[in-house]
Amino acid sequence: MRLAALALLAFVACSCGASGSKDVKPLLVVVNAPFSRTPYLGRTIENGVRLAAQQVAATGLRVDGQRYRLEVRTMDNGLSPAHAVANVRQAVADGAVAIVDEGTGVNASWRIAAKRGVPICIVFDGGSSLVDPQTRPNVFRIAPTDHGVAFRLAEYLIPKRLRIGILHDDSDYGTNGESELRKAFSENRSSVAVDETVPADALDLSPQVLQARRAHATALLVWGRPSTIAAAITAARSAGWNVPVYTPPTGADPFVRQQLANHPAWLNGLTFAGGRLTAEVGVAPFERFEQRYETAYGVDRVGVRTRSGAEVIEPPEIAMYAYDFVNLLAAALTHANSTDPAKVTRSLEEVTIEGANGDERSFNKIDHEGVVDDDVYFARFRDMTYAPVKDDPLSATLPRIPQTR
Amino acid sequence: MKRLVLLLLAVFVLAACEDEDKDKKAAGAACAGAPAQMQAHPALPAGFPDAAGIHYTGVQQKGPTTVASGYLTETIGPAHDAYMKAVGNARGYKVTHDEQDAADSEVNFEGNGKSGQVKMVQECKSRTTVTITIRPA
Amino acid sequence: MTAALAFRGAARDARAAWSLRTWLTLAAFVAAACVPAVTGSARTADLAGGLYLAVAAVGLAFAVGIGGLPSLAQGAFVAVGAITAAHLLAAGVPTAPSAIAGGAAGALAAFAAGALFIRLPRAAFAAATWIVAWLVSLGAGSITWFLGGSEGFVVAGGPSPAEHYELALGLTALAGLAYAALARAPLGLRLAAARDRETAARALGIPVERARAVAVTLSGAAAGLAGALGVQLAGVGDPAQYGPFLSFKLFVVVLIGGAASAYGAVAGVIILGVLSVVADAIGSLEHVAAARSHTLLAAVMLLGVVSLGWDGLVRPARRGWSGGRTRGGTVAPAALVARTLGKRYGEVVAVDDVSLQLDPGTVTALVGPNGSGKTTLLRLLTGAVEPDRGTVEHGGVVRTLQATSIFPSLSPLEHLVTASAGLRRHGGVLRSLLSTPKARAEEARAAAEARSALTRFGVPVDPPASELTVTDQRILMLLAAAATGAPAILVDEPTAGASFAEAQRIAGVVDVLRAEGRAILVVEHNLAVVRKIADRVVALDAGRVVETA
Repeated sequence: MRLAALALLAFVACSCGASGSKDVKPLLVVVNAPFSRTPYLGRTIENGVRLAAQQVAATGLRVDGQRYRLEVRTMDNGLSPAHAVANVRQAVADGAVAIVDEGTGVNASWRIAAKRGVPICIVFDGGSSLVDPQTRPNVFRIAPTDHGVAFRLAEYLIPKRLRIGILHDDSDYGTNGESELRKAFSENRSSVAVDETVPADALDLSPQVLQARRAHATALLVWGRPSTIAAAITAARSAGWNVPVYTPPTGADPFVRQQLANHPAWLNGLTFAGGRLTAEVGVAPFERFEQRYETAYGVDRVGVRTRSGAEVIEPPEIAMYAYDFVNLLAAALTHANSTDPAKVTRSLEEVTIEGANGDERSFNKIDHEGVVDDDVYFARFRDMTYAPVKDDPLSATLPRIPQTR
Repeated sequence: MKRLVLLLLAVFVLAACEDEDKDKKAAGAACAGAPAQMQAHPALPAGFPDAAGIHYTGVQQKGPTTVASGYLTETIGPAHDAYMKAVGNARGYKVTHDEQDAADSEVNFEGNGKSGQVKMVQECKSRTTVTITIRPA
Repeated sequence: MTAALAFRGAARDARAAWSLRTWLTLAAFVAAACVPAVTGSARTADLAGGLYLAVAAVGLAFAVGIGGLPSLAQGAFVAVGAITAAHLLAAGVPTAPSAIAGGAAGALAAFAAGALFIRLPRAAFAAATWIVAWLVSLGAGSITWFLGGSEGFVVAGGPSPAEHYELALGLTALAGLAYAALARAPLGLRLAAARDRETAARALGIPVERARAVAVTLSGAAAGLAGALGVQLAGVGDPAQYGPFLSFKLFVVVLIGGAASAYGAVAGVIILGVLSVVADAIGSLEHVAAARSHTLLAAVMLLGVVSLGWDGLVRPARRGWSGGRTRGGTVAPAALVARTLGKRYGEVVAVDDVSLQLDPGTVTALVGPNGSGKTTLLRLLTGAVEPDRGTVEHGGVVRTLQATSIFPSLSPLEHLVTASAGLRRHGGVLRSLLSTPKARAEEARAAAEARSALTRFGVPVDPPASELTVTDQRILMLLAAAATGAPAILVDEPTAGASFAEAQRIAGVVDVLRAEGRAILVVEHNLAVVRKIADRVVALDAGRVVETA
C-alpha cells in the first residue's frame, strides 16, 4: 500500500515537472559561425552562447507572463558569405529571436534579418563597414574593431620611432586592416618603411620579409590571418632577423603558437593588440567567468607547452563576448516585455548589464559597439604565454591572466 | 569546521573586492599638491569642449592621436557629469557610451571626424584626473 | 499566314502531340508552382536556387547529351553571368535586363571557350574546359573587383524568394521545352549525327564545328542566365560558390538524370538534392562538414554513373514526326569537274594527273586494284584532302564512307531529316525554339519526303539505325547522301560483302538516283554491279587513269 502511494506520488511529481517544462517555451538563438573552417572560433562562440543560455534558464526568463528558455542552434557558414546568408534566412524563417554571428556575410545577411527586425551580434569580425546604427539598426558588435586596433597600434608604435614594415595579407581581414592602418598612419607615413601585400595562403613569406628588411624596417606589423602571421615570423626568424613583430588580435590565435611549437623562441616578443579581458574592477569577475566556462566545457587547449612543460590554455575571450550578448538579449527581452524581434532590437539599445569581466556592457541608439576602441590593449608573448605590456598606459594597469594548467 | 569555511569565504570575498577597495581607498584620501598646469590652453583637435573647471597639465601627440591630461577639483560623480554635459552640448559631438564606477568613469564620444574617450579617475578626495584621447574617426 | 491561322495550326499540332507524358508533366508543373504556399521563405529560396541550377543543367545537357561535348566549364559560365548581373544590379539596372545581360555574358564566354577548344578530341575538350573552370574560379576569388573577394559582393533588393521560385520554375520549363525543340531541329539532329559519327557527318556536309559552337554558346547562355538570377536570389555573390565543384556538380547532375532527355537534368538536380540531404545527415553524425560530404557524394555518384554505364534516369523520348504533303522533286542538275589532280604522301604518289567529269543523270564506276588511289581520289573530290595540284569544281558533293557509317542513335527517318537540314530555309535556332508555322511546315515536309524515300526502298522508318540490316544501312547511307540535295554523290564500295540479291537491291537504288538526275561516282569491285549500273568506267592504277570506257 505504502509502495503504491509512493509510486503514485512519484508519478504525480514527474507529471508536474513535465507540465512545468511544457510551460517554458523555447526562444531560438542561432550561432552562425565557420564551424567547419575554423572550429576553434565556432566552438568558442557556441560555448559562450550556451553558457549564458544555461545561466538565463537557471535564473528564469519571464516575458509578458510567459516563461522562456533560450534554445541554441548552430549553423555552419564555412566562411562563405552565401552560406552565411542562407543560414540567416533559415534562422529568420525558424523564428530566431537573435543571431550571434562571427561576421562573415553580414554585409548581405543583415538585410534579411532586418525584414523581421532580428538582431545580429557580431562577436569576432572588426570590419568597420559592418556596423552602422543608422543604416543597419539590427546589427550590433561585441568585439574590438579593426579601426580601434589599427589606431591603437599607431598610437603605440609611432612614439617608439620605429620604421615599420607593414605586411598585410590579401584576405578580406587583411585588406580591411590595411585600409585602417593606412588611415592610422596617414599623418606619419615616415614611420612606415614599406607596406606590402602578401598572399593569404602563402606558406613562405621570405621574399616579402626580405623586402621589408631591405627597406630598413626596424619592426614588422603583420595584419592578416593567423597563418600569415606564423609565416611572417618564420620567415624573419629563420633568416636570423630578430625584429619585433606586432599584430592585431589574430596574433593570439592558437594556430600561431601551434605553427611555431618547434621554435618557441621565435614567438618571444610577439606583441598583439586585443580587447582587454578584465575591467577596472579587477580580475575576479573574469576569473569567475573563466571558472564557469571551464567547468562546463573544459579548458581550451592551445596544443603547446611552456619550457617547464606546463600545458598552455587559451582564455575564453571570444566566448566572453558571445556570453555578454546573450545576457544583454535576456535583459532586452525582459525590458521589451515582448519576444517580437523588432521590439527586442530596439530594447537592446536601452539595457545595460554587467559583463563577464565586470565591465558594463550596453549599446545605444548612436553606438552599437560593445567594445570601445580605448579598451584595446597590448600583450607580449614569452614562453608561449602572454602578458600585458608595461609601456602602454592602459596595458600597464591590466593583470596577467594565467594561461597554463 | 564551519568557522574555518566562513573564514575562507571571507578571505576569498575580500580578495575579490581588493582591487575595488584599493581604488576607493585612494579616492577617499586627502589630496597632495596639484600637478603643474599648462601655461597656455591647449588647442584640442576639432574644437573638443572643455568641461567646466578643467585644468590641463599636458598634451602629447601619439601618432594620429592627441592625448590631453588634466584634472578637475571634483569627485568622480560631478566630474563625470561635467564631461557628459560638455560633450553632449558641444556642437558636432555626441556621447556614444559612458560608464561610471566608484572611483573611475569613461565618457566615449564621436563627432567632427573624431572619436575617443575621456577617462576619469578620482585620485584623491577632491581631485579627479582626466585623460582625453582624441583620434580620427 | 495570319496570326489566328498560325495559332490554330500550332494548337492543332500541340493537340496531336499531346500524350500521357505531357499530362503528367503539366500536372507536375502545376504542383510545383504551388510549393511556395506550403514552404517557408528559407526553404522556398533553397528550392529556387535548385531550380536555377536546373536551368544551367538543362543547358549543359544540350551540349553534353545532344552535342556529345563533355563541357566541364558550365560553372564558370554561371559565374560569368553572376558577376555581370551583380555589377549591373549594383549600378541600379533592374532585374530583367541584368539577367539578360548575364545570359549574354555567359553565352559570350562559352562561345570564346568553344572557339578555342571545339576542334579538340573529347577528352582534351573536357580537360580544357575544366581548366577554364579553375581559371574563372581563381580569378573570381583573387580579383576582388569581380565578386568582392571572400566577403562577397552584396546584391540587394530584387524579387522575393517566392517570386524567384516561380520565375525559376518557369525558366526551367522553358529550358526543357527549348531543349526538346532544338533536339529535333536541324541543329540538334546535326549535333547528334556528329556525336555519333563525326566523319560520316562531315561526309554528309554537316558543319560540325559550327553546330558544336552553337551548342556550347546556347548552354553558356542558360548558365549565364541562371547565374545572373541566382546571385540576386542569394543576395551576395560569393566566389566560393562558383568554384570548379559547381561545374563538376552540374556535369554529374546531367549524367545522373540523363543527358539525352529534356528533363533528365531536372531529375538529376532533384536526385542530387535529396541525396545531399541524406549526406548532410550522415555528415553531421560523423562531424563532417556539409561541403565535404556533398563533394564526396557527387564524386561517388559520378564513379557509379561512369562505371555502371548508366544512361541516366530519364531516357530520351522517341521524337515524333508529323506527316505532311510530299514534294515531288528532283535536285537541280549539277556536275563535277576535276582537272589534273595530283597528291603524294612523301615518296608515295597516291593520285597522279587524274581528270574526271561527272555529268547529271550518269553513273561513273571507278575501278582498280587495292591501293590504286581510289579512296584518295574520292577524298580529293570532296575536299577532305587538299590536292598538291589540280582543281575540283562542283555544285555540291557528298560521299558515303567505305565502312557503314550510320548514326546509331538516330532513326532512318532522322538520318534523312538531318541530311536534308541544309536545304531548310526556316530551320534556324530561333525559329526552331519558337516553333514558327513555317518551321513546323518545313519540318513536316522534310519528314514526309524522308518517309516516302525510305518506304520506297523498303527501309524501316523508325527503329534506331543500329538495328537495321547491313544492306538497309547502306541503302540508308545512299538515301541520306541523296537527301542532302548535292548534285554529285560519291559512293565508296556500296556492295562490299553483300550477297548477289543484296548487291542488286543496292544497285537498284543507285539506278533510281541516276534517274533523278544525280551525278554518281561509284567505287566498286563487283563487276556485275558495274555492268548493271555504270554508264562509264574509269580504271585507276598506281594513281593514274589507265583506261576510260
